[in-house]
Amino acid sequence: MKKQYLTAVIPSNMAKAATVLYQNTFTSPLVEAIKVNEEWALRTLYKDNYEKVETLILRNSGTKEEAKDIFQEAFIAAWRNIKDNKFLPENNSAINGYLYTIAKNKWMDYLRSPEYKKKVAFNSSIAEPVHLPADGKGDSEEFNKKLSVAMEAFEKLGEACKNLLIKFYFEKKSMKEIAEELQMDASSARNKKYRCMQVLRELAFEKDVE
Amino acid sequence: MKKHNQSQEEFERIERYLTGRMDDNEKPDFEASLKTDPRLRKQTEEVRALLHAIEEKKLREKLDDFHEELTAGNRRVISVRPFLKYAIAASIALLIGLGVWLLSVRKTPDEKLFSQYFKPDPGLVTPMSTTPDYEFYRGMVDYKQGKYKPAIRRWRPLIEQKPKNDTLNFYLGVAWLAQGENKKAIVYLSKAVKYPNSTFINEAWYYLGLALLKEGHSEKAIHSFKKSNLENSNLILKEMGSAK
Repeated sequence: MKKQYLTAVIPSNMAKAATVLYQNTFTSPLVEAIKVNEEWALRTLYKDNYEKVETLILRNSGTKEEAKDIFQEAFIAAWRNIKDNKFLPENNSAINGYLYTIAKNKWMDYLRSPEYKKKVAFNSSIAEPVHLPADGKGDSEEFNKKLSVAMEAFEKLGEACKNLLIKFYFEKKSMKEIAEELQMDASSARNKKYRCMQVLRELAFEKDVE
Repeated sequence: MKKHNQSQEEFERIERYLTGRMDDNEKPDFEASLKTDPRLRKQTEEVRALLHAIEEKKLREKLDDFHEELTAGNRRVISVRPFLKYAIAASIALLIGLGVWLLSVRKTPDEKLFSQYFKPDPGLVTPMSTTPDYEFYRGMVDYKQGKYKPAIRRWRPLIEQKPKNDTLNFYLGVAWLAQGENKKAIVYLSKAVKYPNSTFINEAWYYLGLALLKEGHSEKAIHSFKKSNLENSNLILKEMGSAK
């Protein structure tokens, strides 16, 4: 089920329930929309924050290309923590501050890295890292390894499976919607999803299976 | 290779757990098995990694799209000729520009309210079959993906043929509003509210209110919100200190 909060077209009783939920959890509609990958919300978060981060990195010996990479890594870390409820922003400016701080810390980590020091003598005036409640390093190394293997495997998946899995897990569409789009009944769509996931699992973890 | 087969039932159970759809009857059992069953634990971690991977892959694609949109919008370069008088003229123009920019960056309470409430209408379910409204639904597919410009491009010829279509007027209005073109949004939404029997009548008044609010016409916006029976219209009226 796709969650919707404070939207215009939902029936008024649902809107009321959503309002109550909204007030009880103290999160903004933007946060709830980010959790379900609503395009407008992700775009807002990106566009409202990129420039500040770029300015920071350009002023501290970075390039535009590096600014883009660091910002996107920070964006993903922030998004992940918001989704996993590791970071509960009370309002939009809290998310913006959070994203900026992660990007800043990532850039400082890079400036301190041997990789960077080899390139240039270290004399940056950038401040000390700021402590964050969750900075995207929460998951174990082992899990992160699995994740990167899984992402590689996803690349190798056929287009039909890719599209189907994106509809389910990124766009969070309901089984009914997807079945309608693909013109099949719900149980076939479910079975297709299962089979795609098994192909993906084999592509990713086949070697692990003893 | 298939030694560790996973049945559809097993997979869906893990999926329910990871996506937070497991009910309170099932969850304690599942969590207990996780502790004692290393195979289930391994499979759950694997499915968790796969679900993360699917989302993150797609997100990375989107981020690149957003980045392109952002840099495409910044390609306006001001060239200043090396003559003094041009330089002076340019500085004055820049100062005026800066003033206008500063004014526009500082959000008014109306704009804050707008950004707090505005969210594009989710759109209509798009049938896959070739209906007579094919072009309309092609536009709807773009619209639902947040590609408002292509959607508008597809819908524009249609509105010329059917200028009195309430659905078209409504979605064109919302699409323009999502693009930040408030005046154009007002044009279409004002047409959409002319059909009292339309399915979209309450939404149309609501979005017209939002567009007017964004343009700074608070009084007219209040008038619009009052005509809409949506819960959000009431909420926004309350915030504006003007409940029904």
